[in-house]
Formats: sequence, C-alpha cells, structure tokens
Amino acid sequence: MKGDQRAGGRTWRDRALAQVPAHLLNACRGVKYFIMSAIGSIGSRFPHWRTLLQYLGSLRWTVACLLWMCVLTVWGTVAQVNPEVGLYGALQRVFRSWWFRGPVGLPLPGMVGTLAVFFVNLLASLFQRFRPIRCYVGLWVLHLGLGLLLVGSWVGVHHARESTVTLAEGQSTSVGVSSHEWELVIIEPVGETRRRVHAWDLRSLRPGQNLPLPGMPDGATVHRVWSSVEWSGSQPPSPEALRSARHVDPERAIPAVVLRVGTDRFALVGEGDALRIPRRDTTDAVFVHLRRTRHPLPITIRLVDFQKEFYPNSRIPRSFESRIEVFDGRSQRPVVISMNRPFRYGPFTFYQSSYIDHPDGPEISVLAVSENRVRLLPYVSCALMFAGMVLHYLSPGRRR
Amino acid sequence: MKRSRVRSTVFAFWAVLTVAWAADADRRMLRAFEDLVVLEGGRPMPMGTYARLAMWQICGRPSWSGRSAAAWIADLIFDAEKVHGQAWILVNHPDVLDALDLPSDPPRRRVSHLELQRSLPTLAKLYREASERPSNERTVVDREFLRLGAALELYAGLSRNDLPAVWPQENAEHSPWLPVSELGAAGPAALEVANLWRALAKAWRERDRERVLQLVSDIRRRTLAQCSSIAHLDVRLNVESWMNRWRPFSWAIAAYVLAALAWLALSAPPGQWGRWTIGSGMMWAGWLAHTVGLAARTFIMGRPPVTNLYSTFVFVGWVVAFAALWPRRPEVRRPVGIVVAALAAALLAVAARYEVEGDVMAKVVAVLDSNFWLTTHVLTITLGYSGCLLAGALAHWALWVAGSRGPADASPWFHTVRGYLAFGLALTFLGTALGGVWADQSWGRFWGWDPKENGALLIVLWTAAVFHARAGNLIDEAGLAAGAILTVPVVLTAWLAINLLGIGLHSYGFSQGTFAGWVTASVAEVVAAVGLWMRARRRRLCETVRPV
Repeated sequence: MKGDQRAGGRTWRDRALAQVPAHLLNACRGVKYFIMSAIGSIGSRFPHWRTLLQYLGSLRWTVACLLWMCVLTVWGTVAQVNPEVGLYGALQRVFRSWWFRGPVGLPLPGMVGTLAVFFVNLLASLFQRFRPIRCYVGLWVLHLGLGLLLVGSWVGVHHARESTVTLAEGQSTSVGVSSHEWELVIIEPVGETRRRVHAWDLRSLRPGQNLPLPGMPDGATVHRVWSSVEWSGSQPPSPEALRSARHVDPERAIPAVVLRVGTDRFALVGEGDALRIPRRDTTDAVFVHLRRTRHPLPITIRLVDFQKEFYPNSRIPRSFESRIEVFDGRSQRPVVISMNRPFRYGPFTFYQSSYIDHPDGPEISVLAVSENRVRLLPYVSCALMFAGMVLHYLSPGRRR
Repeated sequence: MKRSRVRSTVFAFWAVLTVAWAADADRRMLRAFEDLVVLEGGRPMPMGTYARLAMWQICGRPSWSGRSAAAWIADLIFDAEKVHGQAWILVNHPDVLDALDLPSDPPRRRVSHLELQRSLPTLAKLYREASERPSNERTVVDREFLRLGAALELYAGLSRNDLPAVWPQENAEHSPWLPVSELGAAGPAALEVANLWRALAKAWRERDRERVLQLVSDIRRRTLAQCSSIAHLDVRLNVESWMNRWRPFSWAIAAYVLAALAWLALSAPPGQWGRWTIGSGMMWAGWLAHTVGLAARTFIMGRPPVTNLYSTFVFVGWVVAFAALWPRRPEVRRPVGIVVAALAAALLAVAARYEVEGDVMAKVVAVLDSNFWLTTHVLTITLGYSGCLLAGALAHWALWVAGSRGPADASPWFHTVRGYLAFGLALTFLGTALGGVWADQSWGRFWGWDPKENGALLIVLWTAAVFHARAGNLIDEAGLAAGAILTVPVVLTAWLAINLLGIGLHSYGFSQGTFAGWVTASVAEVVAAVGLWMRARRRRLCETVRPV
C-alpha cells in the first residue's frame, strides 16, 4: 500500500499538491503561517492571555456544559407534559432563555446561557488546545462544524418566523397567523372598502408609551401590559379584575393591555371584542384590539381542495393533501402540499400541518409556514461534524 | 394369549394411527383456514395473523388450553355455539369482575361468553363512562373496561360474521373490503363468495376435511384475483404464513440462549472442538434465523426493516448479534459471545412483548410514508442505539475484568468499549441530524425541541460528555466504561421512556406499559455501573500500594 502511494518516488499528497498553482499554494502557506504565528505570539507575548485561554478552554467547562445541557434537555422535555406549560412554554422557559428560575426561585442557566458558555469554551479550546497536525484534522473539522451549528442556531432562532395559514376550500390569504405572538392593532377606516392598520408587537409595548390615535390629539396611553392574564367574575373583565397568570403555555396564554384614552381606562383581553373609539374630527370611529400577530406572505394562496385518505377499513391516515393555487403577483400556478412534500418559496416553507373536519361545511386545511433564511446552515454544520468524526476515527495518527 | 397380544398390539397401532390421522386432518384444516385472506388495519393478511391478533385481544394469549389461535377463531366464526360456553375471555382486573358481579377469585381469570351475558348491560354502561373520560384521567380499571369492551365487540363481530373483512369491493389497492355478512348485497361475484363461506362453515362443523381444503382454495383464489392490483400479494401472504408457522425470531432467541449457555458452560480449551464450535455455530444459526425473519418482514411490508417500536428491538438485536460473529481470538470471542448473545436474546424477547399491542407489521402513518427517510434516519439512529447498547453491555465485562485481574488485563476491553461507544455517538449524531433534515422536509424546521428529538440529543450529549471527560483525564478508562454502562439508561430513556410521555409530534411512537421495565433496567444499570466501577477502582488502588 505504502509502495503504491509512493509510486514514482512521490506520495499522493505531493502529486495532489503539484496540481495546485504555485501562487495559490504559497498564499495558503502564508495564511497558515500568519495564523499560527499570531496564535503563538499571543501565547508567548501575553502569558496571562494563555492562562485565561487555558481556563476558558478547560475540558472541565466542556463536561460541565454538556452535563448541564443533559439536565436541561430532560427538564425541558418533562416540562412539556404539563398542559399549562406545553412546548412553547418549555421553549421560552428552558430552551430559549439565558437563565430561568428553578425550584425555590433558584436562578439557573437556561439553554441559551449554557450554549453561550459552551461557545466561548469551544473558541478558547480551539485556540489553546488544537495543533495543526494531521491527527487533529478530524477534531478541527468536527469542532468548527459545532461552532457553525451554534452560530446557525443563534441566527435561526432570531430570524426564523413561524405562523399558520388556516383555509377553507375556496378561501385565499396572503398572511400567516402566529400561534404565540400577539400584536395591538388600531384600525382606521379609509373610504368605503379600505382600512388602514397600525400594529405594535405586544412585546414592544411599555407602560406610559403613547400610541397615536387618528382623530385624537392625545392618542392613547399604555397603562399596563400582561403577556398572560386570568380573572374572575364578569366577562369581559374590567381593568381592575385582571391579574397576571404564571406558567401558561404561550399558545394558550391570553394577553391583555389596559389603555388610557382621555380619562377613561379600557382593558383589551385576548382576541375579544374591538374597542370602538369615536374620532373627534369626524363622525367615524377607530377600532383598537388585540390579535395574534399577522406575518405578511410574499404570495397569495388559495385552497382549491383538501383531501384526506385512510387505509381501507381503518383509521390509519394514509395521506393528507392540500391542492392550492399560488399567485406571486406575476403568475398563478397550482401546487400540491402533502406530508413529506412541502412547498418552498424563497425562505418560506409551507407544509401540511393539520386539518379541521366539518361534517356540514367545507373541509379546512391548516398549513404551517416557516420563514428561515439560514435553513441550510444546520445541514452544512452537521455534515461537517459527522465528517470530522469520521476523519478523526480513521486518522492514522490517532491510531498510533 | 399370544394371539390376543398380537391383536391388542394391532389395535393399539391402529388407534395411534387413527388419532394421528385425525390430528393431522385437523392440522391440515387449520393450516388451510390460516391461509385465507382477510383485511385488517388497512393491509391484507393471512387469516393466521388475524387469528393471533384477535386471540391476543380476546384471550390475552396466542393459544389457550392447548389449542391454537386459529382453532379458537375458526370455531368462533363457523361454530360460535361451541365456544360460547368456554372460559377464554380474559378479564384482567378483580374490580372489573366485581363490577360485573362475577366471582373475583382468582383476581385475573378467563370467563365464558355465557357468564358475561347477563352483565353485558352493566359493562356497556361502564364502557361508555370510561370512554367519555379524558384519556389522562382514566384509571387502570377504566382502561380494563375499555379493553374488555373492545374484546367483546370483536368477539360479537366474529360470531356474527361481521368480522373480519374478507372481500375487496373493487380491484384497487385502497378499496374497502366487506365482511361475509355484507357480501350478499355486493354483487354476483361477492354473492358467490358468500355462498362459498357458508359452505365452508358447514364443512367445518361437519369436519369434512376434503371439502374444507377445496373451499378454502377456491375462496383464496377468488380473493387474490379480486385484488390482483396489489403487487406480489400472493407471495407476500405466503411468506407471512410461512413466518407464522416457523416463527424465525423464536428460533433465533432459542439459538442465542443456547449459544450463551454453550460459551458459559462448556470448558474445552481454546482452539479445540467444544464451546467455540457450538457457541459460534448456535450464534450463526440464530443470526441467520434472525436475518431471514428480518428479510421476510421487510419483503412483506415493502418497507425498510424499522417502521415501529417492535421492529426497533428486532433490528437492534440483529445488529448486536452481528457483532458477536466477528471476533477471531477465542479469549475475546467467549465473553463477547456470552454478553452479546444474552443481549440479542433479551432484545428479541422484549420485541415479542409488543405483539400484545397489535399488528407488528401495521401500515405506517402518513408522516412516516417515506422509504427514503425511514432508511436513512431511522436505520441510522437505530444503529446508534445498537452501538451504545453494545458498549454498555461490554463495559460490564470490561469492569469485571478490571476488578478481577487488574486494569492491564482489561485494557483491550476498554478499547473495545470506547470503539463501540464512538460508533454509537457518531451514528446517533448522524441519525439525529438526518432526523432534523426530515423534520425540515416535513414540518419546515430542523429542530423543534420535540421530546423524541430531545431523547436523541440526550444520547449525543451524554456520550460526548463521557469522551470529553476522558480526554481531559477527569475520568480514567474504568470511568469511561462506567459512563458507557450509564449510557444504557440514557438510550432506554430516549428509546422507550420518551414514548410514555404521550406528547410531541412523534405521536406514532407513543406506547404504554414500559414504565416499570424502564425504571427497573435503569436502576439496575446505575447500580451495576457504580458497583463495578468501585470494584475496579479498589483493585487498582490495591495494585498501586502493593508492597514490593
């Protein structure tokens, strides 16, 4: 084998390198020299940096982070069983938090906080521990893939948006409705058939914030904001009856806002009735209410037909299929969305999520919409990580 | 005297022959009955499979009183009066017996349909109340009412010929099938088949063997002709009938147990005929039977080997057993053989337990209807489970050797454990990543913190923690082996316990009743890991301070 590789007095590596243009090879060597000398000079000229890197890149931190992530994974999974918490509650509390309150109010690092420490530990150990020799190539690739995965996850969490489109046969829409985000909207009629809509993300509202109301010089002032409320007594509740509800699944949570308009206070609770405020300048009125956040879609979709099939003589589902028409402003085309066969449009993915049976009316299809501009990052990073593992396990240097 | 002895010998011989012939005639009739084609759970299957499923539901066992499932179900379909008085309907809880005003001693017993007859209105009322209760509020007794109600519904359906579905309405793959009781109004061809079924019932009652064989053959031929649009259906049914008769997985269990015993008991010196030949031979025989069973399942279903929880056990057992076939050196082959043969037999035995829950070759639900992803994601992650389980199982031996003979002797074993654990980590990671890709294709997101995804992540995180702890010298080789043992409960959590939660998008994998087994196995593994690790550590300390 060795003899084969060295046929002609040169190794396969030499022959491969001979194919690379000399200036490219020299440039690569230069970059490699620069990086290695930079790392070396950091270590030799700034010994305290080296100590810091050693501390931050310690494998003790790595093991501690991994074990704590195990605990958080179990914690977040078991938390989902509680119907008052659910998947989104567990996401907010454990998986997408920097820290959270554990038993007896003890502050504990959440998954984001732990991953941040893990990322710093990874960077520090990459600088401090890995050497540019062949037997470490696999570990380099594996850990670079891991770093990319962490960065990709971070970007994905902050830039991905999820919503649903619920359509009866024959209906069309160009907005997706979020299942757990809310917005406060002011609707201003403009002419006979048009309305102007002003929307504020509920999370961005703060007490004391002024909201401009058309036809009202003083506007409306936000008095209080709750992400989840409960109340006893009358329906709809008065502002005084509302109190904060804790540990509620964000999908089921009912938010509330108390607005002050002039001297009066009004409570907007969940998707209740809209508040009608007469304008002072005209005889018209504006409407204020809370609703689940609408995310505009770049296309209009119309549900032509929804079909569900079961295996014969059973209730085992065989397929769910929505036949839709997509209009993107220029052309209209038919599309079929079924299980394992989503429809993609740019960063948007539409997939068959659910359906609602109507014995008397038309069938209703529920499509989930996911908007993610870094969708392929996890693919790349996972491929890198697996390739790194394989390289590492097969590395001849490691075997020695 | 001599003549009478000859006469009595001839008579005895004749009697034995007659009984054997009669028994054989009965067996041939039953075999013919088992070959009939029916539809259950959306898939055509041999009557033999259907009878076993029905028997599990009604009786809680695949056979009862020395009679096979097919014998009981055939009598129920063709001669219901004969079995109404037989006590073969399982009642699993004394409170249910009390509620139905039946003697509750013993507390779990089988009753006859005649005994239950007068309690049926009470049972119907209790069944309705239990079914109206939310599933998370149901008690054990409620669940038993539901089970018994479903079993009696099945019983009644079979005795009235409303079940099973025996005739496809149209020659199309997904056409509904009709039971015998509805064939009369379904056209001339169906009417002819209905008449054949009536004739079959009569011949069965009269024990007219030739007529039964002829009618079964005719019905089967017509049914297959009516569903000729389903590819290779006749071959698949034949293979399934063959599997029902020969039960290759049972043979595999027996062979694995024998292999383990041979390696354990026979003490021929290495290299000689003895335990090596017998142990290896039995292991190979078991693995071949296992392979044949797995291949047959794959062919019958037209799917990759893993489609449900049952098949994960079968596949993991197969991969695990494969590992025992390769070690060449006798000193390695024996311990590996003992550990792996026992593990493979245990996995197949656990798989057999899932037969109670229904058809083990059931149709896959819509979300799983992708052979590509079933092959890539599911097989890969199951391979990862196999690697982790192998590492955990061999780690017991490695720590035992370290505790008995010292860490130097255990070094090759630690190396093997590390290799399998690395294999498990790599494959579980790849499987998890491929699952993310599938989730992205199906649900539009790569990762959603769904419980099943979290289970796979847990294995990756735990094994990565063990490797990093070893790389940082936080633990020694014995610590790594103890970590490998602790990987077993982690794998069991991801594999089984997550399904008990009953939440998330992987609803097709939900199961019940494995909680006690999971807790027992996990606690046992934790105790084993701690005990063996402490033993190995004490041995190492003794060696360190041994006086010169």
